[in-house]
Amino acid sequence: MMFGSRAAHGAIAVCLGALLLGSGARGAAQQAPADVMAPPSGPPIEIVVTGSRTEERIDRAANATEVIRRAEIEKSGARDAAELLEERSGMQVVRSFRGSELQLRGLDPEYTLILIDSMRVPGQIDGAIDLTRYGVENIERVEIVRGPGSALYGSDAMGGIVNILTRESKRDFEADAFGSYGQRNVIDVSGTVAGRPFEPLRLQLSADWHRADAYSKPGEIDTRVSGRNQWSSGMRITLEPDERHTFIVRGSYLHAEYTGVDAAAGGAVYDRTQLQEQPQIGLEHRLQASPLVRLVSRVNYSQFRDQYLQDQRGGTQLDRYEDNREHLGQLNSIASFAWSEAHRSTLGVEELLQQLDSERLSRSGQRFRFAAFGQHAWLVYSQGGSELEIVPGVRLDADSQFGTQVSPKLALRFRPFTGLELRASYGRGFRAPTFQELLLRFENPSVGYIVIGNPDLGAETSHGVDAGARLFNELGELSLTFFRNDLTNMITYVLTGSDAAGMVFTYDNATYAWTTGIEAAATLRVRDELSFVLGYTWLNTWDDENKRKLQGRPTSRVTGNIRLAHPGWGIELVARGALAVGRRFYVPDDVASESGLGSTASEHAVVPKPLAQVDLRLAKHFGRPFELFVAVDNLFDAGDAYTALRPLTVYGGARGRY
Amino acid sequence: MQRWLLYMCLIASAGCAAKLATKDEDGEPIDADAVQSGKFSSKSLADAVTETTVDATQETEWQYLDLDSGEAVAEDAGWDLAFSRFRVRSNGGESGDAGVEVAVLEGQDFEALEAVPDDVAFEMDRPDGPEDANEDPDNTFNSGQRNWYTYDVNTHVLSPADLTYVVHSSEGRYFKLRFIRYYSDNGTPAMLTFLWTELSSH
Repeated sequence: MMFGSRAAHGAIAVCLGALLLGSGARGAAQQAPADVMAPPSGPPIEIVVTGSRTEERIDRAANATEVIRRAEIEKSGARDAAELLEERSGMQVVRSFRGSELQLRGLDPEYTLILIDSMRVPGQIDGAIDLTRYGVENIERVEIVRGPGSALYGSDAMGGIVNILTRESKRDFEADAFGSYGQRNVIDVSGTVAGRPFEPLRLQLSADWHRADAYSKPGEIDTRVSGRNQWSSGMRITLEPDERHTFIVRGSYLHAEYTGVDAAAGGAVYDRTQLQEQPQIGLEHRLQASPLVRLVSRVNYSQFRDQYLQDQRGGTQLDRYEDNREHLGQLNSIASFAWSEAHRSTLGVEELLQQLDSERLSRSGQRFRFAAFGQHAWLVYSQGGSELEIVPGVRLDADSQFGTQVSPKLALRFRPFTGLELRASYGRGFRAPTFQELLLRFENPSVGYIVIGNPDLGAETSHGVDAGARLFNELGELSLTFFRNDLTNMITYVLTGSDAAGMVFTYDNATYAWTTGIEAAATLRVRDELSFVLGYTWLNTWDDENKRKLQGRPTSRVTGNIRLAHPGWGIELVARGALAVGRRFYVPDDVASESGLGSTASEHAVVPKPLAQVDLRLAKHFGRPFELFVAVDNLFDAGDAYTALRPLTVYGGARGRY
Repeated sequence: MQRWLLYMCLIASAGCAAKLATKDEDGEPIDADAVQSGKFSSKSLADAVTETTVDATQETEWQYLDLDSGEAVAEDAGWDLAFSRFRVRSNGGESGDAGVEVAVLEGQDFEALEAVPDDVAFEMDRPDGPEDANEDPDNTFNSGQRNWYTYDVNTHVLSPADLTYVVHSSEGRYFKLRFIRYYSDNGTPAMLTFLWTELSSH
């Protein structure tokens, strides 16, 4: 029965894709053959793919899209996606032994959808994707769309979308190699070879290795930052048999080992090892059915295996081993239609099959989801550089676990004159309950409480609005954006009773929270010698379950990026920084409960000193082929009891390219 | 072509890394001065005080102690106290028919207590009351009102409360008893350690 249902959905997806293609072809036949998706004559305008799930000009995107390009990635000195994003406006990277997780606009990591080449990735741990898994060597660019994105992407996109797009070779042959070494044996090595062995084939191979010693504060046994030993490899095969068809095969394998020492409050000391593997393979087909109709179909399989070992020192009673495997299959077909200069549409279908096998679950978790979505961009008014565009969209998700969800959105883009853009959007979003929340069975072996998943959980829902203005010219730009996210039906722990083993907690859709704030940014470019980006985010939050502000969110965050260069000498200095002020944490009062299990802890708020993260990188270029650099991470040795950061690290290295 | 094969092999072998394994270690270290009886490990201290550690780590298995003999015994063999994790029972009332009863003294210096005080109230185990969330019988050691431990809900650590117990055993003798640790030296929970010795009756 289950198989029959999946097969039916698969057939629906294929048929709908064919239908979309067919109707698009007919639409194209009725239109003048002008490529309205291409930029007008003049300097090329950047194409982005995340905001509407199809290629569109960045200046026509109804949802503002921030792009981190390859050149900026290389100059930043960042080694992985977490380091790349942690000093961006409106973002905060939270580090723990589980890895580096992204908080966007004050929302927890599970409310931001992380994509690789526009596809979901498996391996959420407590709802978050560890961004250190993704080294920058294979990243071509990162597109960030803030605000609710469920109308096109479905679950998890309530706060926004971060789409990491991997490198795509365009030349007949190219190769690059990178190596660096720093304090505490921080080593990064990577290489890429790409070329066109014969027409119409392009081939790209890449590999990388990263390692770093674990870090502990002097006198402490606990590891503050886990040791890391990670390698990965990837391939990309592109086949372009003619001008209409492009086939892309992507494959990759990641192997990451994290090690550390944990000291439990009861006195036990553990050696902790996590071994993660992530194989992935996918096929993408791009069809330019006509100058006005484009169809992109993707099928993708990925797996995430997470082995966790807790080895008690001097004993075996508390040894723990877990072997968790997640399988994620995805299929989607997205058609984009450029009916005319004033009307563009995106229609798509998507299927997702997910399975999680874990000893922590009462049974294997399986879910199937079918979704159909669409949006239409209507350029209501366009004259002399002035434009008004309205973009409604909606998505329907049917999930075997939580039923159906409808996610509408409406976005407006108004350009009163060239140099000023106003954007506003509203969207409803949702987050599907995780397998852990649905099926967990966890028992604390020492004091007797149990957490049991609730298979009847519904999805969390949200309403999000944002509105902003952007003023720009050749020298730079100024932007100001207001946002608010209201999260309802949030999943939280509730006490349900007890059994022989102690108190029993479960999950329920029982609380709500909100975040609101203002993002401001200023960019100044003075030829090649100087560029300057300054960002400021004001944030306010509320956690209704605990009747307090959300923990760890700074009320003010200042980010900056300064680049100074002397092209004649080939010298370039880049400084990146972030200052977080007003982080609030809640720590228990030093009072032990007399009344036993289930007592409510008393606690008080602590606002630690502002956290200033600054990175510097000085590079000497020897033309395009070769570069030497020296860099400092965490110049002010920031980090406190609430924020685990690797201490000041000096490193240097070289990059060569052909 | 060889590279292709390499990549296909990598993908095919994905997710098949070797299983992580713990280092070979024995269980909890054994105290050479202690005498083992079942899951109880006891050693004599000064003033005829015995320090006993019980491995009460099994959730569903109770460990039964006969204070009169100082030995581990079976459930049907005249036990006085039983232990499972942080739970303690006495063999009287709701938990058994041996008539064991227990009194508690707050803030009492364990060493200074030499006889059963006149004004203490002994209680046998009674049916579970509404004060706590579990379904175990309530008694002087565990109830919704007071437990032998304090529990830090933030760190989930149990610490012995400043309580001394007087146990009236199945053979009519009196013992004083005080819990001193819930964790072993390695940090293993439910390795419950307590001091105990016989008291003169009055």
